[in-house]
Formats: sequence, structure tokens, C-alpha cells
Amino acid sequence: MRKLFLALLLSSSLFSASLYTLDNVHSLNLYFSNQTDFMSQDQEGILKSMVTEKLKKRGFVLGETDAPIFVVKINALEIEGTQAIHMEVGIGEEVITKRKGKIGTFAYTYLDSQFIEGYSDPYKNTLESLTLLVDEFITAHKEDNE
Amino acid sequence: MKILIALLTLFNFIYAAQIDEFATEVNYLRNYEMAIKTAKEQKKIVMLIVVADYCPWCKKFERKSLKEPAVMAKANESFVGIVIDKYKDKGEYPKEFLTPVIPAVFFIEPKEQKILAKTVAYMKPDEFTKNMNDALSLYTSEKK
Repeated sequence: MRKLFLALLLSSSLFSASLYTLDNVHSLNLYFSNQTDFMSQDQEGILKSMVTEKLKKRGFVLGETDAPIFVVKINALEIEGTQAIHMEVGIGEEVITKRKGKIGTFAYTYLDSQFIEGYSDPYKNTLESLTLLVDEFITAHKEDNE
Repeated sequence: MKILIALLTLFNFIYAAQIDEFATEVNYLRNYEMAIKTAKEQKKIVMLIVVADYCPWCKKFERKSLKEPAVMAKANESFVGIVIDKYKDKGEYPKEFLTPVIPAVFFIEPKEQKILAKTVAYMKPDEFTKNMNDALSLYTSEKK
């Protein structure tokens, strides 16, 4: 009895890919904002390509009118001599709220971020972390649409 | 009189809390005593869902799992479902269900109001269906 109780208790998954719901997100428009000064235009292009390729590989159609916006924001700041980089990946779109009058607003319907130290190679660290954030988004999308 | 009732129903519908809307959609009750009474009459287990209005994982559990047609069918066929808000409904259900982690699901044997099993956190529909089946097996084996 006790074992069965425990088995039942443990059979729930404590983690899912995301708390957001990504059902029926098929098309996206990329908005890429780089507010750092440590990467060249070529390196920024590589980041954009990485994001674009991963989204296309997952089957997203990019560039359609009124599609939800896939936001990538990268900022850097210095904290006591250490370079800190903040990255944000999200989906922004028009939604109808449950407020009185069913008010519409632009809202983030997916958001994930990372805060890392730049160390000696901030670009490489940014690329790695951004790749992870995009992969996490794709995993969450797969899970919700499987 | 009929017009008054219709207007009151409409008023309740428009201003119903999201938890009430959800309960109506999935055919769950909102009152603990009523759930116990119904479960005794229908010889079913009470499936008590504890959520809160600020909890995004609870919302996802409601949207993705509890509203899933197969889960809804199973819940309505074999259980008496009830959904409560951990804080807003405080005092209207026994203290033992004031769980620190939500969403939480308690499977309750109605005669002695004994907890047969408990699950916590978000679950996908297939995982939750498995848990419902496990709870049913447990209830059946305890009855024997």
C-alpha cells in the first residue's frame, strides 16, 4: 500500500519544458536586438543565422505578415569589473486578455533568459548560451505540439 | 421571474471567476461537501484538484491536461472531480489539502475521506491518465 502510494506520488513529472503553452505556433518573425559592443557584424550574423536555421529546421515559417514575433535580445553590462551578458528569447504577440472589455494587448507568450559572465571570450559564451535558449524553446514547442 | 433568473445566470456567467468557468467546462464541482456526497451516492472516488489563480503551472495543467478530451471523459466517467483555489477557498475544505506544492491532485475515498493517493506538479495528459488509472486500481483493491 505504502509502496503504491509512493509510486503514484512519484509518477508525476516535476518538470516540463516550459510553463507556457506553445500549441499551434507555426509561423514567426524574427526580431534580433544586439545591444553589446563586443561582437563584429559577422559574428552577429552568425548568431542570427543560427537562430533562423534552428527555427526553420523545426518547421516554422518565417516572414509571414502578422506572425508572432520571435524576440532575441542581447545586452551587456559591467558589474565591478566583470562583463555580464543578459540574453532573452521570447515570443511576443497580440492577445485578447480576460479583462473587462476583452482588452487586446501585445504580450510575451513565451520568455526565457540567461545571465552569464563574459570571461575571456564573450562572443563564444553568448553563442553557446543563445543556442541553449533556442534549443529549450524548440523542446518546449515539440512537447506542446506532440 | 424567468427573466430575472436568466439575467442572474447571465450575470454569473459574465462575472464568473476563471476557476468557476474552468469547473463548468470540465464538469467539476466547486464544493467539497457536495463532492463527497455525490461520490458516496455514485460510488466513485473524489478527485480533488488544488490550484491558485497566480500559478502558471496550474493554468497549463488545466489547459493542456484536464481539458484534454480523453482525460475529461475518464474523469467524468470514473471520478467526482472538484477544483479548489488553495487560498481563495481556504476554510471551505479540510486543512490536510492545504498543500505546499500546486497544482496538486488528491484521490479521496469518500466514505472515510481517506487520501488514497496524491500527485503534485504539472503532468502531461498521458501521465495524468496513468495516475487516474493507478488510483482506480488502488480503490478497487482496497474495496476487496
